[in-house]
Amino acid sequence: MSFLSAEFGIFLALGLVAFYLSPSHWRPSVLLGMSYAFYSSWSLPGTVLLLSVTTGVYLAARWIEGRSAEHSKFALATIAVAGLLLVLFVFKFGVSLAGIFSARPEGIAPGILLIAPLGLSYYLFKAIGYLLDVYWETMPAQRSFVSLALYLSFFPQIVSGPIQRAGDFFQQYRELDKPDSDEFIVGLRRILFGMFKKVVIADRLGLLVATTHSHPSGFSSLELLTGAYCYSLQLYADFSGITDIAIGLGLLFGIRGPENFDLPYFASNIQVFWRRWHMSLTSWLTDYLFLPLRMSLRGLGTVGLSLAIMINMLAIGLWHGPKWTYAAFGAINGVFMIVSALTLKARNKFFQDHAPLAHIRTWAGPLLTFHLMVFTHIFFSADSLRLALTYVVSILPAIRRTGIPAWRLNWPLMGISVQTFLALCAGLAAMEAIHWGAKQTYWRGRFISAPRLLRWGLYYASILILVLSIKTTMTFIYAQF
Amino acid sequence: MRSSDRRPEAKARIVPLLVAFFAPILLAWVLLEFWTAKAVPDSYALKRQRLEAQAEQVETLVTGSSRAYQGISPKQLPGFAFNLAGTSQSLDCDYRLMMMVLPSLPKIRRVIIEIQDTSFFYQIHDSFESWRQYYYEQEWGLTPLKLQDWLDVRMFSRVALRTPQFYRQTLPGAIRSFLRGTRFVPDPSLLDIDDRGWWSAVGKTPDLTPGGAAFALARHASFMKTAYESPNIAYLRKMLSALRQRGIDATLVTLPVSPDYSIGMNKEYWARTLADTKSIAAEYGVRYFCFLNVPELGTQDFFDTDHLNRQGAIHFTKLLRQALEHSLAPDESSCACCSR
Repeated sequence: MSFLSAEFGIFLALGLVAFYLSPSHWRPSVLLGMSYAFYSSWSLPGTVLLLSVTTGVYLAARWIEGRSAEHSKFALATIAVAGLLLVLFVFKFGVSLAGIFSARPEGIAPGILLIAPLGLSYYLFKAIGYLLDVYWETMPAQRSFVSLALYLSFFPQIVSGPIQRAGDFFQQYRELDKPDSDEFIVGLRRILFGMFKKVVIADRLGLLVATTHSHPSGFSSLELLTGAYCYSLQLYADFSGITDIAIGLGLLFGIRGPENFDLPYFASNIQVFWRRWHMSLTSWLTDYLFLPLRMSLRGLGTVGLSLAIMINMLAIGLWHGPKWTYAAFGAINGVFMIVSALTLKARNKFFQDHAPLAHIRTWAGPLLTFHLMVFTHIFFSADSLRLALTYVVSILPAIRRTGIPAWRLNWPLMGISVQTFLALCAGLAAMEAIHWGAKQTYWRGRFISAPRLLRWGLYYASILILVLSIKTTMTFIYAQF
Repeated sequence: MRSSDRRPEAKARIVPLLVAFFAPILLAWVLLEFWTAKAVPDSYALKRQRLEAQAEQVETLVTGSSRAYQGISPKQLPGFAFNLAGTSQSLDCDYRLMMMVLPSLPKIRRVIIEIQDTSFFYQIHDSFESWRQYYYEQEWGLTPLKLQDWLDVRMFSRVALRTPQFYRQTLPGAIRSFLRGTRFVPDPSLLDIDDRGWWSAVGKTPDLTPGGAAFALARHASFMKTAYESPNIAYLRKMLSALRQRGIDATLVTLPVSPDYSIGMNKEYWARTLADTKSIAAEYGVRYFCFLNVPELGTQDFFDTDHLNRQGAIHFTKLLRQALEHSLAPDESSCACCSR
């Protein structure tokens, strides 16, 4: 059941009625029932795994909390976290390893089915974070099984995140009996905006991307460059779209999830970019991986810092799956981050000493950062390293060896018309303007206080454009992780 | 303190507000459901209407996927032929459709069953075109094979089933008719199917490059699964048994694809398909014509790497007619391209 399907709409409507008509003490159970019903519509074995993980984490947290000896707590926490990492490893990496060690062309013995269940990376990271928080005594272990089960399975967040911290979730969980009607309206607005981004912008860009990325050798340098830009923009619209939907759905039930994006393509450098992109994952990794690593490697000085950054970025890359392209994505970003971190002081000093050049930095920084990300996304989007390198080489007019003119721009061949492309550019500009405006108290207030006729007219127009833009369902890019 | 705690009246006003907002959307849905979505026939409804209108005359029936839907022009076949093939129509649909229509075709004497490289390895409900199964449900009454697909809203609603392209094409006309107070009559040219169920595809510059073939092959590979091989072969056997019981001639045929497509096909799967098809043809005493590579067809005959265009379809169907009229004994069932 996809968030964009009509049956999900019916499921949601029935769920909302059930939730709000229930006595307040039953609401968590209703929401948990909805979450498991939603998840089981994807996979029944996956649901069994989710329930097993939840039970294990519930018991492990209680045991960790119940021990008084530090070494005993440490041993239990280590075993529990290792167990969760093992589950992640088996399901995410099992298929690839089986392929490497198997002589069969399909790579895996018949009858063995190892497919990573939907949202595995998301709920396992939540579970690991929760266990570590209990171990570090930053929060108590949950007494209620329902509350923990709901935290791990909360249906708006299980498909593509955001990865909400346990403490934040449980604090809101306690207020489920006090629904907020204003937040409800905000939730509906976020869902509409997310669907608009996904269906109208991302899926249209996806048409062009699917064409150029399927056989790069058939396109000119300029067409491939356009395809690369469009992929980065598609990824952003797609992922921020599903995040908006997830946050919006959560708000309908009184749970506000964390934000995942903060105008990332306007980041002044690569470090800032990674603080504004997939924020719930990067902040999770910063707290539970980078900072502990940084502390343990601090004796090594610059080398230690570089090592911590590289391991962190590789973890971000490989979190997406066991592919060399994801490893390359992480490694290249790691190199960019290290160079950026090690030269930051020198750059700051240079621009302080050359004040007239400082204003160039304000626009050149985001421009350069965006292009660095477009480059790394070529690896992220490719099916193999070979394809990624072919794509990169095919972009370079001096190296490519095809008869296609390097500067050709044949829109019909790329799968969309120039009018559609221009409309998409306008849509992207509007999307970023809304993102920017939503952060400004003044503009947010102006919008909310605008006449209802105007606001509703805008909503109805958006719904109409959305309905007329739907094509055969494309899945959310981040739902596969 | 949260905003609702400050303004308790907010809770009271949200329900009427939601009703007021969603009521026009619901109303629009209901109007569309009964006003345009049902009023404008789709290719599936049209095919059924046209078959039922001419059922008394049909002597030859064509089943298969889009390759047959586009590639076999019934008017070039001997006798009165009707094309029942459809885009992504898998063997399970072929079987169920055929069994449904056979009793209403008194003159039927031949069924042409298309077999292609994907035929044994996919079923429509488990592909990126799974949405088409609901057209078969709504127009033909073929229920989905998977129980969980029965919960899909497209089982019951044409509005949910129709594509936005359909609304872009029909909605302006429907609104104009509504404003004028006249009955909405859809533009018949929207559906490019002839009276024999054939879709004559024209007006596109084909991408016959290796890249184009790789794109099509990758799309097909994405839904091909060995798990469907046995069930699909069973469906083919059931079709042939049913036809044999009724004394109806069956012919298996593979349609042409571009050279780059045929080179890129999954060799193992295709070898299995070819071997199974030949073996089944021999077992049931039916003829199998494999036209995978036809030198007589050139770039100008293709719609894309694995579909013929109007001109190619007419050209190919004449070749098929020649093969059908050739007095080959059943046990001489031959693969045209392989035996050349």
